[in-house]
Amino acid sequence: MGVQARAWLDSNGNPVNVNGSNVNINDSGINRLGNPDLTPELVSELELGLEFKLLNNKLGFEASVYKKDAKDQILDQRLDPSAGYTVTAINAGNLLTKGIEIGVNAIPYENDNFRWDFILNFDAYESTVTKLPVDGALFLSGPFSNLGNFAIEGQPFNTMMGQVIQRDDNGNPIVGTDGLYLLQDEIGVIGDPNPDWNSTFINNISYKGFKLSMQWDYTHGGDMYSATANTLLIRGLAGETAFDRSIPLIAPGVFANGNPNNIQISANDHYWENLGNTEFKVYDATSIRLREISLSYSFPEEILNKTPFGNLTISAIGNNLWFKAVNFPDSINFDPSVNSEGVGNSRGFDLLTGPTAKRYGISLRA
Amino acid sequence: MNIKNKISIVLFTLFLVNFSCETTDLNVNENPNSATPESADVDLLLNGTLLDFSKWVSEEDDDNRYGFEAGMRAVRMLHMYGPLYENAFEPGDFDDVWRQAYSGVLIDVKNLKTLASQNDLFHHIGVAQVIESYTLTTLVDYFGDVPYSEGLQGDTGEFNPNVDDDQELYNIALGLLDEAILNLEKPISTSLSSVSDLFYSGDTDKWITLAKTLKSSLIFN
Repeated sequence: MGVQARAWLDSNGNPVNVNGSNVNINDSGINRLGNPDLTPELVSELELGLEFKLLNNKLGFEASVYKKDAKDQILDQRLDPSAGYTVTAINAGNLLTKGIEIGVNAIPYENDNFRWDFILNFDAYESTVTKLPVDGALFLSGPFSNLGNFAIEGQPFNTMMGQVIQRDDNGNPIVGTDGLYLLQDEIGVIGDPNPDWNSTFINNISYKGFKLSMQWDYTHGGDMYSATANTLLIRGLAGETAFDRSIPLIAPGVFANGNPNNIQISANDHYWENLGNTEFKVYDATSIRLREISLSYSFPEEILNKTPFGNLTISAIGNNLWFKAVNFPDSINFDPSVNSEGVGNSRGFDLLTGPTAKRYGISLRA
Repeated sequence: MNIKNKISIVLFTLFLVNFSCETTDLNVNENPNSATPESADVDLLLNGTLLDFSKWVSEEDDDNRYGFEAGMRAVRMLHMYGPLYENAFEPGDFDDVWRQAYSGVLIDVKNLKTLASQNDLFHHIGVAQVIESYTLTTLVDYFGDVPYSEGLQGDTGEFNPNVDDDQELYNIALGLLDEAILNLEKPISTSLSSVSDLFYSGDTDKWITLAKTLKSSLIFN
């Protein structure tokens, strides 16, 4: 077939498959087609930074803006299996990332015994697919071929797509003759998992040998597909749905001819069938979190002089003690930082993943 | 510089000249990590084809079970989740039926036929044709018009093959069965190995019976 086997690395240093075969030595039915025309990725980046310190280093300020243009990104394109191959690596267009980072550090008060300092960070970025050589959407990663992160020209990188219901021109859901929402034949955009901005606030307060530190994180925006939250809601297990599920209701929507829906279904059917559709599993993932809090005590030198230790610190640490995803149902206490897809580029999918853990610890450092 | 050092330098230079060239040869034309259509073993490929086919059609695979159960759901042999077709099936439910038929079974059949015909292994060809016919019939039953004549040519850049008429495809499936029977009846020295034929342990008579059964089922379809 004249396909050349070469060792390739993409701009992140990951190996790229350029060769392949259509012989199924297992029963996967996944055949990679080699692409001898593949060219290297090219990333150009422009960054502007600013940094200054004021008031005897008691106030510091850093800011940077950047623009990163990735050309000819190497991505896997899915092929129609009727071509005999299911996947090939292509130079999948351009990705433009613009971002800003701002950091402030300050010591508002300091004397011989007492000191308070804090660091405040802010970052925001936007990645847009500016060119894509394939029509429509390119599957990037995610749980299923009909639910995952896609690249669409003009849209943010990793746009989430999944099954969507049919809607009329005014956005009203269209119901079938059974009073339930109808699905579209093709998958559609269900959300953008990239947060609008992130912020971190780190506070340190020390008095003599004691030191109290805490770190707060805030994430604004970004969508999350949460099977956990939706499963609890549609089954009536969340506090918000603790009502009689056998009461009748008429789902908001219209028939295909434009008349308002008048088919009576039970509340249970409405939650289970209608609100169990993929697009209703997507929530805004804005969240605030107490990432870490610690209290430590360093023994003064006068005491340590009689011991072999030069330095002795005892501290109690708690990680991830409190979080709140403000736009999720209150009773669920969902943590949107979970990711069912594990390590990788996929983002914004929770398929009944276990929650994040709180961690407590005591440490003694000598 | 003594003679010992000179010898070392000469040897080292020879070493560089002799052994460095291999690493600069990047034009390896075949993927060393997988079997290619040229290097595959015909018996193992038959084995893989039958395995693919049985998993595909027997719903053993979780991925395509849902798609294959669809037929039984629509006629209420199985419970259909939702009173309407639109509610019961979602976009993508049939993806795996489609994928495993083409890039699993039919591409293996294609490679198997090419390999077997190079070595005049007519019984292998016959079995491949029976499987191909059965798969094609099933695809038409499910989807109507499907790609066939332009299909499986991704290596020549044909990524979106056009569909063929379903009636025409049934005729092709019938023709394949006729050819399969002829091929399986040919007396040849190297027949199917009893190990690589997972269905009938190399018994060509049983394959012929199957082909005739499929023919009658197609004709009465």
